[in-house]
Amino acid sequence: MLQRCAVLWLFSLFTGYLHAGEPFFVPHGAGQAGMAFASTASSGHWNSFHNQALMAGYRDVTTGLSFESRFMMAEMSSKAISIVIPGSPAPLGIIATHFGNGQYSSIFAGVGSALTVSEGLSIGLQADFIAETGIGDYRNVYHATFEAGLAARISPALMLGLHLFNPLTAVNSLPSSIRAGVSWSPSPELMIACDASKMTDEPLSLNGGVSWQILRKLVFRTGYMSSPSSFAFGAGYTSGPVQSDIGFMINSLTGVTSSVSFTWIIKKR
Amino acid sequence: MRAALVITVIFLLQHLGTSAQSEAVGEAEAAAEILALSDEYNAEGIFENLAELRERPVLINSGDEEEIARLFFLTEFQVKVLADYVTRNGPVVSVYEIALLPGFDRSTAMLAAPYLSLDVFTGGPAGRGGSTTVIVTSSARLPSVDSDETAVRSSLRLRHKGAAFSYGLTAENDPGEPFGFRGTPGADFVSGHIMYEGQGSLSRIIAGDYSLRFGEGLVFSSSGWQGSRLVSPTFMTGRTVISPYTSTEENNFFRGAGCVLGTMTKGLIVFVSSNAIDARVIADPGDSSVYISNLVKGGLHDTESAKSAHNSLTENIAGLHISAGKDMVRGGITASFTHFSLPFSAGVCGAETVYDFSGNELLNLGIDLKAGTGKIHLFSEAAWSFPGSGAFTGGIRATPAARVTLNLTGRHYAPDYHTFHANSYRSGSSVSNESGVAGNIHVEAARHLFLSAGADIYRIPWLRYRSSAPSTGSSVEFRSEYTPRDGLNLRLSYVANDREYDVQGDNTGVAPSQRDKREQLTAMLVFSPSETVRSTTRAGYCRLNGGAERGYMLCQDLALSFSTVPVRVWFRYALYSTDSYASRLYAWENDMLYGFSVPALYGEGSRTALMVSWKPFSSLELRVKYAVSMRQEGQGNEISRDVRVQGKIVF
Repeated sequence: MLQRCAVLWLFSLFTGYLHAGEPFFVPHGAGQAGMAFASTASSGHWNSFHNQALMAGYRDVTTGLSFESRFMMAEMSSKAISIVIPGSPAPLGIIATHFGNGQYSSIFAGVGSALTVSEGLSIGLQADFIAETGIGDYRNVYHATFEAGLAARISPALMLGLHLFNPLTAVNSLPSSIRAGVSWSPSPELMIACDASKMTDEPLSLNGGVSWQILRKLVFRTGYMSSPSSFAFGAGYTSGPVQSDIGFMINSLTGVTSSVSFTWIIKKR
Repeated sequence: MRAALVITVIFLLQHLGTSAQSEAVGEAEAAAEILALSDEYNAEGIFENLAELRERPVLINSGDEEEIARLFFLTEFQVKVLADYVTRNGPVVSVYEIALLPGFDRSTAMLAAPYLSLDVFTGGPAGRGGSTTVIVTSSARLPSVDSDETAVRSSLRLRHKGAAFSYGLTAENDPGEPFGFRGTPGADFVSGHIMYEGQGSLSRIIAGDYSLRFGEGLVFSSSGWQGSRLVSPTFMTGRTVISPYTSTEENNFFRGAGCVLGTMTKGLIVFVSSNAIDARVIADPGDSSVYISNLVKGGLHDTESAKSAHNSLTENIAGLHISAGKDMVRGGITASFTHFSLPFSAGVCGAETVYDFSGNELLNLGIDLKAGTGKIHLFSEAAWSFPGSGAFTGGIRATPAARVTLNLTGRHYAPDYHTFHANSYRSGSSVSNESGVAGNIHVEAARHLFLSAGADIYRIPWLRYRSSAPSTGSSVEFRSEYTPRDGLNLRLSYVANDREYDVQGDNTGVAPSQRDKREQLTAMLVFSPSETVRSTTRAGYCRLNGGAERGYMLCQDLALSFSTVPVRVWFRYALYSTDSYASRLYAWENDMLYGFSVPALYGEGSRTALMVSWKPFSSLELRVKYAVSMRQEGQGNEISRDVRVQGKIVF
C-alpha cells in the first residue's frame, strides 16, 4: 500500500501542473510560514490549512490564533482561528479566516477530518465555505468546495504528503491547487521539508524548509519558495501549553510578509 | 551571483593517501558554470588559486595554522580546529576523518581533498635549503583562415620556499602584447615578492607584491572565492591573511610592504602600497582638467586604447588591521587610506554612474566579528567608506545534524559604498548597489547520496549596466552526487538564474524591463576502472527564457597514466550546438600547471584537445597540449588551433 502511495505521490508531483490553481485562502501558521510553507508533509496544529490527513496523528485538543500581514500592509492582512479535537475514529478540525478590509473582505470557513487507513497511511477531507463581500456595485459571492489530503509515513524519519484544493474547477470556476511534499527528520531536533505546488495560472513552485529545535523550548526555521522567489525565516517558543511562532517571508520586489501565531493545548491526551 | 556552485565534488579519493594532485576539477567546474551564468564574474582568481594549491598541496599534518590557512576557502575556525586536531591527535590519515571534525562537513572535506597532502610532516618546508620551482609556459594560437597572426602567451613563474625566507617572481605576456612595452624590453607584467616568516613578535614581513584578506571581505579580499558561489560549503570568508601575490591578474594586488605583529588572528597587520593600475584617463577640453572615468580590468594591452590605459593611475594605500579574540569569539578592525594620482569623476558615463566614486582620496573602515561553536558559527562585517556610505554582510553556518549543513547570509551594500579591493558574496561585479539574502543546504540523504540546494534573491536599488531602473533577480541551484563506490561518481546539477534587464530596442524615456532567465542542466559521469584510467562524460543543456534559445553539449574526457613510463595523457572531445553566444556552454578542460582553460562553446562545432605530460624525474615535468576547435560559420568552418608548451623544474 505504501509503495502505491509513493508512486501516486511521485505521479502527482510531476503531473500536478495539469490541474491547479491559486488557493482561495491565505494559508496560516507562522511556523509553516517560517519554512516557506513546505508543510504538506509536516504535522502540526495548522494542518487544517495544509494537509488535513496529518490530523489523524494528532492526540491533543488544541486551538490556535494566527495573524498575517502580507507585505506589511494592513489592507492585506488576515486572521485565523482554528481548533482540532481528536477523536475516535476520526478527529475534527475547524477553521475560520478573515481577509481584507472594509471595501473588500473574504471569510473562509472549513470543517475537516482525517482517517487512518492503515499503518502509516491516512487521508483527510475538509468542506469549505467561502464568502466574499464587496461594496458598491460589487455583489457578495459565496462558494462551497472541498479539499483532500493524503499522508504516508514511509519510515520513522520520512513522511510523504499530498494535498488537493478544489479539484472541481470546471464546476465552480474557483482556482485549484495541488501540492506534494516530503518531510525528513534525520534527528529528533531537525526536520527538513520540501514541497512542489502548482496553482491555476501560476508557475510551479518548489518550497523547501528547515526546522531546527536548537533548545528544548526554542525552534528556528528557515525556508525558500521559488515562486514567487522568497526566503523565509521564523522562530517558535514553547511555554507550557502555549506555543508562540513568528515567521517572515522576504521577497526582493514586494518586501516582507510577517506572521505570528499562537497554539494552545487545551487538553493533553 | 550566485551561484555557485558546487558541491563539489571532487574527484577521486583513491589517490588521497599519497598525494592530492589528482585532477581536482570540482571547483573549476563550478567556476565554469558561474562563467556561463554571469558575464561579470571573474573566475581567473579562483582558477589560479586552485592551480597553485594543486601544484603545491597543503601539508595539513604539519599542524601549522599558516600552512593550513593556504586552503583559502576554510574559515578561521576550521583552520584552527584542523591544526589543533593534528597537534593533539597526530596525523590525519583520511579525508573522511576531516569531515567528522567540528565545523567541517563532507562538502568542505571533499572540496579540500584534492588540494591537501596527508603525507606525514617531517619538518621544514622542503629540506634545509628549501625548494625552488621554475615553470615556463608558452601558448600560441596558430594562424587560421581568419587571421594569419600567431598570438603567443608566455609566462615565467619562479618560487622559492625556505624555512624563513621565500621569494617569487612572475612575468607574463598576454597574446598580442609585445615582449616589451613603451620601448622597454621585458614582459608586459612582472610581479615579485620576498617574504620573511619568523617565530617572534614580527611574524611575517612581505616586500613586493602581496594580497590581503580581512574580515568578511567588505574592505579587502583578494580571494575570488566569495564572489558567486551559491552552493558553497560556507559563505564565511577564509582566514585573515596577508600573503605573497602570485597571480597574473594585473590590477588587483598591492605593491609595497606589509608586516604582521603578533599573529594573523591576534595581532596587528600594517601595510603600505603604491601600485600603477590600468584606468581610462579623460582630458576635459573645456577646462583642461584630467580625470579618471573608470578602471580598466583584464590586463590585456593589445590595442591602442588598452595601451593608453596601461598603468595610467597610481593607487597609494596605507592601512592596518587589528585582530583579537578567543576561540569562541574573534573580531577585527580594518582601516585604510587610499590616494589616487588622478581624481575620479562620477556621473560622466550616464545616470548609472552617479553614485560611483568621485575624487582622489578614500578612507575605508571595517569591523568584523565571528563567533560560534562547532554547531553554529556566526559571522558579520560592517564597513564604511568616506566619501560614500556603508555596507553590511552577515550570516550563519549551522550543522544541526551530522548529515546536514545549513548556510544563510544577508547583505546590504549601498550604491555609494566605495571600495576597490573588496570581495564578499554578491550577485554583481562589485561590492555595492545590492541587497539580498542567500542560503544553501547540504544533506547526506542516504549512503553515498549527497544533495545540495541553494537560493539567492537580491535587489539592485540603483541603475546599473543594462538596467535603467532598480531591478531584482534570483538564483536557484540543485546538485546531487552519487558515489556508489570508488571510481564511480555521478553528478547532476540544475542551475537557474533570472534577472531584470532593459528591453533592447529603441526606447524613449526609461526602458521597460524584462526578466532574462537562464537554466542549465548538467550531468557528469566519472568512471575509473583502474587507477590508471579515468573517463569523464559530461552532458550539458541550457535554455534561455523558457526555450527561446537552447544549447547542448556532449563532452568526453579520458585520462591515462602508465605504470611503466612516467607519462600521462589527457584527451578531450566535445560536441556542441547552441543557438547563439548567449546560450553558450562551458566545460573545464585539463591544462598546463598554474593554467586553466574554460573555452566558451557556442554555435555548431567541436573541440578536440590532447595533452601529454612527461615527468622523467621528480624534479622535472614537461607538458604539451594541442587543441583544435571547429565551428560552423556560414557555408564553411572556422578552425582555430592552440599549442601550449610548459616546463617545470624543482630544485
